[in-house]
Amino acid sequence: MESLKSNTFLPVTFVFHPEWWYKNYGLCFARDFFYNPETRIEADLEMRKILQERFGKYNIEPDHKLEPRPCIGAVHLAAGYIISEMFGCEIKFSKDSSPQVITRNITDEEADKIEPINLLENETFRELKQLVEQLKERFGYVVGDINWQGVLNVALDLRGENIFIDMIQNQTRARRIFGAITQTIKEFVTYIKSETGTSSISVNRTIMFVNPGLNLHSNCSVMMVSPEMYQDLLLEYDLELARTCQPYGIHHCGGNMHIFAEGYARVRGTSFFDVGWGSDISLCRKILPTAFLNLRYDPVKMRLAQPEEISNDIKRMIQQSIYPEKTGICCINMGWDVPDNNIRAIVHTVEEYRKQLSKY
Amino acid sequence: MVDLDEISEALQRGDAGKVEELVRLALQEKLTPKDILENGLIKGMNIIGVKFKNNEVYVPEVLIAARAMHAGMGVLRPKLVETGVKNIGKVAIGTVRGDLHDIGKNLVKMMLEGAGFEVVDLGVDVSADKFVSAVKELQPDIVGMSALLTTTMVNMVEVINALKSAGLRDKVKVMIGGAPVTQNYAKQIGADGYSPDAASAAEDAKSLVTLS
Repeated sequence: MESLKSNTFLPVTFVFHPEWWYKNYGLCFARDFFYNPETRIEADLEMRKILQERFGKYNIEPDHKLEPRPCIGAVHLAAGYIISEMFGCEIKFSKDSSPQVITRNITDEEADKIEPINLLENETFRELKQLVEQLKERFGYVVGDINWQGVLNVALDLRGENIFIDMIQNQTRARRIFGAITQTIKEFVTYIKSETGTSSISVNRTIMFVNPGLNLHSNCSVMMVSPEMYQDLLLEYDLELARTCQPYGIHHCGGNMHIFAEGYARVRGTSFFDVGWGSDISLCRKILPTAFLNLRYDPVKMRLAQPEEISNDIKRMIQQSIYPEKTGICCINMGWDVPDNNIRAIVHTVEEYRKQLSKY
Repeated sequence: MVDLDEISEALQRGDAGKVEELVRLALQEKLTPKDILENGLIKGMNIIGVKFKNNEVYVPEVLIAARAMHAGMGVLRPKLVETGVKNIGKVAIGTVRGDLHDIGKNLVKMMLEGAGFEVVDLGVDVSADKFVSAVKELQPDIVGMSALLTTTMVNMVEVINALKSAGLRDKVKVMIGGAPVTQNYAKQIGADGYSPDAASAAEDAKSLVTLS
């Protein structure tokens, strides 16, 4: 297979679920993986070596310097938990899965008094800062970032499904919770970017090829509310984040981004969208003509479908996005038994597109 | 005279106080508990279920309607017991091992309760052994399994195999659902039913109970 000529035109990225790393290579995702400086360096190097050996010929993410590096976050995983942990949620770390947040179910009284986190007084943040300082002392710099989740995602971790009741019956309370989370996210993003220059590679690796400085806000749970409720109650936080965290992008992994696209179009300065599998790409493109659309493929299909079907899906998706120069393809959280042939099918299909388009 | 449609409408609006008040009034006016349940509360939840399926309402609206249903049931349940009105079936439901997500499972639970089922919630991160124990102890008509992750949906097979090993598979119907789950996957692992959303789950559960 020929090497791809450019990763910045129609970028393709893949992220494997921790189970893939654990079952195939024995990598373990206990708390040390995230916070112990030695484990971080070793695991990061090991992961890059594995990707290089197994997929280097596909030239997906060429890594020419396979040397230890001070990478603070799990940039080869999809693992959002740290803002919820900073707000007091317990995190369940496991050997073969991403950290899972245990919902805190805060009471009405706790919700009504919630305040943004004071980072310097927060134990989780101090632990992260300590990791950053240790790595900086040794290497002189740090790279990588930590998935900073999203406003509604964290609210659900804190308040459980009661946040949805608040959104209907007590919007003052809902806004207080969202406001506290937004403020905390802003400060966290500012800190991480000041240390590493990036904030969101650990949300979606595609941004490395589009704009590494992009700040990607995760709206995973927005798919559960109506577009009207998004515009009434959540849009203001996207607007606020977009104002202060430029360049800005929105991650919508739900299969219904098209119904939120009108609202997203109102978030000025949003140049990038993660478009969940199942969304109407044509409609998203019509409403967001100038944005970069990073199209997410279905990890279940990646596991079960034949390469030809996958290739046809990818062709259709690229066509629906209309502008290949404003399009990316990714598949996140693939399980341990995803066939390499299916990954190759995506890479090959995109390569064909790149070749065809380079003729013009 | 209380109009049962009024109960249904208050439930759809999520007005728990009004539902409670109207159910109480309806009982005072000697409407039968069965009639109030079927033509007031269940009717309202069915309408919400259809709207949810058609993307006319979303999770918050379903949750608030389910809470109104719960408020109405608080008044009605003792009368249902007194008059010997039975649930249409019993479901033991849980999110499978390794998965801590519960919103989807909770929605299905609410829609099942809204359809007249007794639902025993086994929680999240439920092991195959726990599902088997629940089937032995509670003797449900249906076991419902939920998974949000592609990597945890495979644990549904463990449960089906454990039920087989315990000699319980033919005593209970198995339904599965969750974002990554498909009809094809249900067939592959030998589940009796698959539902793409919470409202369909209630309908599918009714069909399974009728068939058994």
